[in-house]
Amino acid sequence: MTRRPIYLMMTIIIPALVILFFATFLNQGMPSSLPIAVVDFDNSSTSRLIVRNLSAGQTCKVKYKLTSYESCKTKMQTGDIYAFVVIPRNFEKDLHNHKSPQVNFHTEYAHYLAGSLIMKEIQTTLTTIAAGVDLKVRLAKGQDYNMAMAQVNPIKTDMHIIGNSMLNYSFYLTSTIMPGIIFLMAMICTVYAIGIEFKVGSSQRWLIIGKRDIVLSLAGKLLPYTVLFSLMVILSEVIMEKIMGFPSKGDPTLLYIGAVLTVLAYQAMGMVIIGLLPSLRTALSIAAFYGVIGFTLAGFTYPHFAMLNAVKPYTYLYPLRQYYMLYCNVQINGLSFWDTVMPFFYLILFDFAPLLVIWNIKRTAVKLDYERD
Amino acid sequence: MSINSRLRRNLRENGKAWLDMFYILRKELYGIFTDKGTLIIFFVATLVYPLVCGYVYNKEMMRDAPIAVVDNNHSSLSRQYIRMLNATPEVSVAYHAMNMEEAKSLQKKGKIHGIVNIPKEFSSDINSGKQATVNIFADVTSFFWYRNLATASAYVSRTMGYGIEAKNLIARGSTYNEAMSSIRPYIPQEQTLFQIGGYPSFMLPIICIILLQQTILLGIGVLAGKHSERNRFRNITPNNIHYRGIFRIIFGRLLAVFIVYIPISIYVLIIVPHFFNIPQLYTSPIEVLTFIIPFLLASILLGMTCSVFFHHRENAIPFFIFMSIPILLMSGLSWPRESMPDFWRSFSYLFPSTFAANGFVRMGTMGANLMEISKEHLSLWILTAVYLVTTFFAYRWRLTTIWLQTGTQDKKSRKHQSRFNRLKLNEGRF
Repeated sequence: MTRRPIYLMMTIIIPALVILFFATFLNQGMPSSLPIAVVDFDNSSTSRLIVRNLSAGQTCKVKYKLTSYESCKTKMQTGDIYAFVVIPRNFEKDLHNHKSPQVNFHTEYAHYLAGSLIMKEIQTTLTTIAAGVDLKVRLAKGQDYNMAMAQVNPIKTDMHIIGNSMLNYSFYLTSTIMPGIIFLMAMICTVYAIGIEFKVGSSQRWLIIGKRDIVLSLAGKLLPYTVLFSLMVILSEVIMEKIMGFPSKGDPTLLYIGAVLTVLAYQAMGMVIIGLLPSLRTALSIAAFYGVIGFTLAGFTYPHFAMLNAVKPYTYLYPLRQYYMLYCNVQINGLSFWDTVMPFFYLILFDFAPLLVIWNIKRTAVKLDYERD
Repeated sequence: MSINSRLRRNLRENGKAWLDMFYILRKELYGIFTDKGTLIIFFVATLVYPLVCGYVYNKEMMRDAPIAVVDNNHSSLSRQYIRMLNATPEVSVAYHAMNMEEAKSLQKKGKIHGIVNIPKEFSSDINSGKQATVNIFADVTSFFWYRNLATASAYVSRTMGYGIEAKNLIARGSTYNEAMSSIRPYIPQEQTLFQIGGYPSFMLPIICIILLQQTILLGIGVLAGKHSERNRFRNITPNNIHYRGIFRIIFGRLLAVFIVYIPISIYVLIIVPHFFNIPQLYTSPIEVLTFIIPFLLASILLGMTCSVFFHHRENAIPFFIFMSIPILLMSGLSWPRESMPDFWRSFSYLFPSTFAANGFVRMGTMGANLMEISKEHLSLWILTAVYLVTTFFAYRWRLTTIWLQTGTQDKKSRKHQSRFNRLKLNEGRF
């Protein structure tokens, strides 16, 4: 193992780089001060109040004050702004004459996260100011403040976000992608470690060292990687919990056991792939293809619930989905072992998959008669 | 020696450079189409992957996320609130829980993804003119659950609040118009400037661009590894008289992959989005192609620069696979560019996909023309130039180390050597 630098790269360097990347890349938690533009055709005290308040929020910041709709559109198409607000002519006059003028705002959806956050913030700011105008009129009429407030806004919504009180977006991504890439590496490493024996033709010697018992040989070959990759995943979990401050409600040991089981499950899938396609390069390409689709299908970026019914069964082909469920159950919902036993069960089920192809691995190892490219 | 004679000598020596280049081009194309691993990466992956992603992200918006309601009030007002919540496209009330404990245990089991708790004094507060509060508990296991519940509950509270306020005002003798303008002095209105798309319209074009770049990098890495394994002296070029100048090797290889990727790009960037009905607002596909040419060139040259480090066919695969997801995040589309740490933002400029994804997405979703994405277009040409230089030095380094090792550093003897080797190779074959 130590002879080929690629092993060092796969087991230590790549996981370390992945941890480093995710620990530093999303450190801001939530996007802030995103540039937007305003077209103020009215230029009155109320319209200026709106412009000021748009900048006061956390998410967006008025970066350009433009004079035409067209220039805003161009700014958006060149990618300088994410949204713009248009305040019409005679805005204040219409306001006093009970004509209910419209304030239009435009966002784009090419930046999904930024677009949704900005839209929500602009909507809130504009509604709050509208309520403020209403409130001012009522106070001027001599209503009591609390009374007026309740009249203006009869139903208040209190948002409680369990576990993720700051609504840290990095948490949604990092918690599964970071271990996910390490799992992917574990699978690729398994394919590589077995495939290289076939490729250089040293598999017969490998079997002899393993007392001609294929199970013993495979275990001896793959266990060091199981240990290494499990340690790496556990390290990433500890970093997420202790340094990045992600929620941890349940017993972390459960998650650590889950991490070891997921590494084993991915190694099992690696064995299945190399067992079916003994040519190293083809097997690696297929393993990479299979593994990368897993990030889409695991359901942490795009919920399982929203997928097509025809697609849903395929998500069970991925240990990553079970790991994601386990993470949610243990770290976010704080369930105990017996309440979250199903993901464990599925993960262990994966380990039986190589039994289907183990004869083919042995046959290839002895005869080396697969189709080379 | 006069300039004229020098030029003449140069011409005499390099006059066949074009022919050499086309020879290399033909050889490389042959190499691509006869190698199973490269075929999988170049054709099967680009053919299948966008289709799989398109089918997974089939629904534009996530509708009717299941939530539970805890109604402690049991009045007509609280029931109205729940009905309105159920009617929103974002959520649907799946369970009426008796108390918070029941609702929380449902959430833990994953049956529901959000809880709305209506307090006991909800209707009495509203009727006595006090402000009533509704408590929302969002599920944090995915951003989508939070987004849907927050949008729906804010909308329902606002709309129902307007109704209550209007009723109160009219009861006190305001006219309908006065009441309406008092409640909403002005109307915040979201306008659709361009076609609104959901998550798939956002995600698929980015995935397509990154897929193109990553398959190019992978494929070239695998091809170079193959050359390293097969050729004499572990060289990245065959020992062949046509492969005697660095530039003819670079341009020959560049053109080979480029020719292969033109139809693939048309399929991945134009036909696939069309197939999945993803908004494509650009005026003509020619504009997309014009924009994508420097992206392909820069990606291929980046791949060729990196490829000198791969001595085996397989080594490129783990290396490029793990990078795909960080590259996706660094494109600045899913996570806004303004919020990235400076180091990673600068780092992201090394990848052609960063500029290409931004430009292509703006062409598709906002109908930007080539003028409006000229910044990205220019950056891609600059990257092409930069990677051409790095490829030159990388190839020179790899080739000269080998020429030095084999003792064929001077040009003339190298020529003889390779001719000699070619003859020997032919002898071996026959």
